[in-house]
Amino acid sequence: MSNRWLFVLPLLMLVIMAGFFAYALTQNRNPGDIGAPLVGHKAPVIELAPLHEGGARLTSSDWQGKVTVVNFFASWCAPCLVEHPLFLRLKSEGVRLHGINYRNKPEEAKAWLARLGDPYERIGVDPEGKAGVEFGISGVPETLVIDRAGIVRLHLRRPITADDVNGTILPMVRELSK
Amino acid sequence: MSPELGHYALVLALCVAAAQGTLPLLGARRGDAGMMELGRTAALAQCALVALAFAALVQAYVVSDFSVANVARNSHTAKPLLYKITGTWGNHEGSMLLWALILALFGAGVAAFSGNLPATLRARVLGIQGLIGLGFLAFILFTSNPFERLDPPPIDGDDLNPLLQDPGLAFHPPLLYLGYVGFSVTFSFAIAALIEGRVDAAWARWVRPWTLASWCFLTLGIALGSWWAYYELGWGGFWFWDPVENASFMPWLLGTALLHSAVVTEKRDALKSWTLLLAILAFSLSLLGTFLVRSGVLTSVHAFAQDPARGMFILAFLIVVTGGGLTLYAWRAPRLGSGGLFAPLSREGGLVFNNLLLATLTLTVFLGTLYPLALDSLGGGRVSVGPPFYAATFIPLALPLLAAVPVGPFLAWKRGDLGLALKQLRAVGALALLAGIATLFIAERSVVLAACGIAVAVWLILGALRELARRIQLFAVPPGDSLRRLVGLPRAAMGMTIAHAGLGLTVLGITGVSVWQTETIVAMKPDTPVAHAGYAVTLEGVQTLRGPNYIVERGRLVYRRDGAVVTTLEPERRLYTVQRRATTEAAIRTTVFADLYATLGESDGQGGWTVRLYHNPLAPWIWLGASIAALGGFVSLSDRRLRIGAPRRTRTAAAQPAE
Repeated sequence: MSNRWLFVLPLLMLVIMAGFFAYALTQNRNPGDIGAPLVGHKAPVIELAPLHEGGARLTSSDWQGKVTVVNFFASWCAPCLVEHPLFLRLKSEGVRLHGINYRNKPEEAKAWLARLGDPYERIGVDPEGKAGVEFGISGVPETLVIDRAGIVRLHLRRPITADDVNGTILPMVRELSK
Repeated sequence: MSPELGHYALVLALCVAAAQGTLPLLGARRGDAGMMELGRTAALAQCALVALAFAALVQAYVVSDFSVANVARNSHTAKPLLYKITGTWGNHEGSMLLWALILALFGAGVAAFSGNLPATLRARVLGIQGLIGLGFLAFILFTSNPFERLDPPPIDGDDLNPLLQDPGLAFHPPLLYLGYVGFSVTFSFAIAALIEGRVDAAWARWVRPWTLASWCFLTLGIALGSWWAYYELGWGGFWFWDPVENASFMPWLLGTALLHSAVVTEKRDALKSWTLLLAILAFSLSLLGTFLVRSGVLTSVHAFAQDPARGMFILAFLIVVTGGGLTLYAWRAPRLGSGGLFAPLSREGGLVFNNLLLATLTLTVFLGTLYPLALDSLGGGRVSVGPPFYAATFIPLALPLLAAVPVGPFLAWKRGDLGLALKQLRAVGALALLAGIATLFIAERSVVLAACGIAVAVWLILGALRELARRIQLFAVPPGDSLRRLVGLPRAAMGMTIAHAGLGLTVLGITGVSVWQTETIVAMKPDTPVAHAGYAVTLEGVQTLRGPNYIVERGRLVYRRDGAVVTTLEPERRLYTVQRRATTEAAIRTTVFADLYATLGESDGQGGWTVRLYHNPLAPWIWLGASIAALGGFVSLSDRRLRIGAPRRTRTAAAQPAE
């Protein structure tokens, strides 16, 4: 008779599934808000080839020991153009800044940086968006602040603004650097 | 006036459905012929009433009657007539009414074409259809009434989501619903069989046309949806493993399993309880898909109604229908008996292998789709399951399944000879291997997977043709005889060959795009050529023009090879003025071997434009293959045995006694 239980199995699965659905429906959650699950966790381990010939690879050790801002950018992304001057400012404030060039042709990215100025200490290339998957990127531009221990402290899923720089990023970098 | 007529017809349809869902079932229990016969009348009446309601809503859209809230929210006077009509189902309420209409049409179809069914079985099938209809009509009337009025009516409407103003999406939902809802008939047949405690070859043959038709429509619906995503969303991809795509893919996978297991039930009287379970689950997954889309519990590009009350109603309905079906199954299925015996290596064995893998694939997609929801509910945080998960789980399961497809038809029923089957497929295997090895040398990435994909595609296409050649004894008998055999071939066999070959073409297309796609995303300046997939592409300016209800920016991209113009693509970026939403209209040039695909993005304000260029080798075969597979299904549907000479049940095949 034990094989009779096999016939009950589908029903059991339905009950469990329905329980989850009922819970999810009553929680008033917004599925469109994907949040920033990486905040509070260690930044993923990556190793990316450099954009510039002769440059150094961008690896996870590049945010050890000093608070670091990591920016995903691409030359084809119009909002990146808008936020770009703010990164030049972050550089002039002495913030360590690395770039990840997301799904972009290297020569295009280089030309773009030559025209606008290159604020990044190191730039890793991510031609197929694999680092993007590791960081949970939903598009470009996105910007993260990583502390000395390699823990992600901030993840902005939009172009940064002057208010972000003055009100959030710079104070945070100073606070974490203490 | 007519919206009230439609509303009234819908309420009447609800009452008729209530009668259809109770009286015939009661009549079948009591053996009351009059009550049983009522099922047919009620099914036809329900269909006429829902059709009237639907026509009333379409009319309100066509004349832009903005006193109807649904029309005001989803239409606009400047919208082209085609999209005024298709806008009827481009929103939650109208789309549910379309669902109810198709459900009623299927019910009427059973009532009209089931003259050869035993009266009790027909009454029960129609009764269950009536209950499903009752649930949906109640859902529409109580939570999603499309006929609600506005007072005072606005001067003009809010227009339809511009992504939906597209011929591909105009016909995607009706086809998809024909597939989803078609499985309700299979479900009703399964429940009726469980109530009667009897499943046999005759039952399997009666269900077959409904399963086949649903499968064909679902195949076409999914293919059309994927094609729409390909050219309208402008991401250059054809499948994104989005929860809503998965929601339509799961019933397809399980429906495909059902199609094959029902063959065993029909020919060999075996796998009975498994076939019933698949019939119940295929429709349950259709309902699950509806729930996922309509309740907004998952993140998806298809954001429809996000109303908890609606979500709760569909969830309750899902629990009643699936839970009821599965309870009945747990109670009655163990008594059905196992039927014909067969060796593991046999046609039946091959079909069981097919079913095991298809069911596992369904489970994989199911887990991938619902895992984020389950994890979040358990407090495990937000995750999303994307293509890497499916690449790691789906492909390794799909490859052996696809590899087995051409072998199955060469195995005999009861006990097959694998050696003999493989011997007949020797030449095909050698060619597939050769194609795979050749691919190793020309693939640019995912080399091994590419070789497997191409080899499997060749194996499927040629294997299907080889099987056809064996049936018509090509080259073994004079060509004239072969031709006569071809003409006399059962349509079901012909359909299988076509469908399997179509599957091979789709695999070919998917492999081509996955392995050889070239993507170039650039900020283009006018008259500065960009190298892309062997072409020099130049943006020769962007024009601004006016459409009926949108402003369009149209880029002119000239593709040159060795200085000679090959083609010109004109991708568009449309701004729909009423909804203030932009859409991309990809420009695609299709040849037998590849698609050239271009979309126009935003301007950087300094004379440059973001342009995405794709070169998608073999892409057209994805959808062509799927259409050919569906065509195979329709050919099989025209098989003689499904039209005439329906078997009579013999007394000896009486219900098996309980254990």
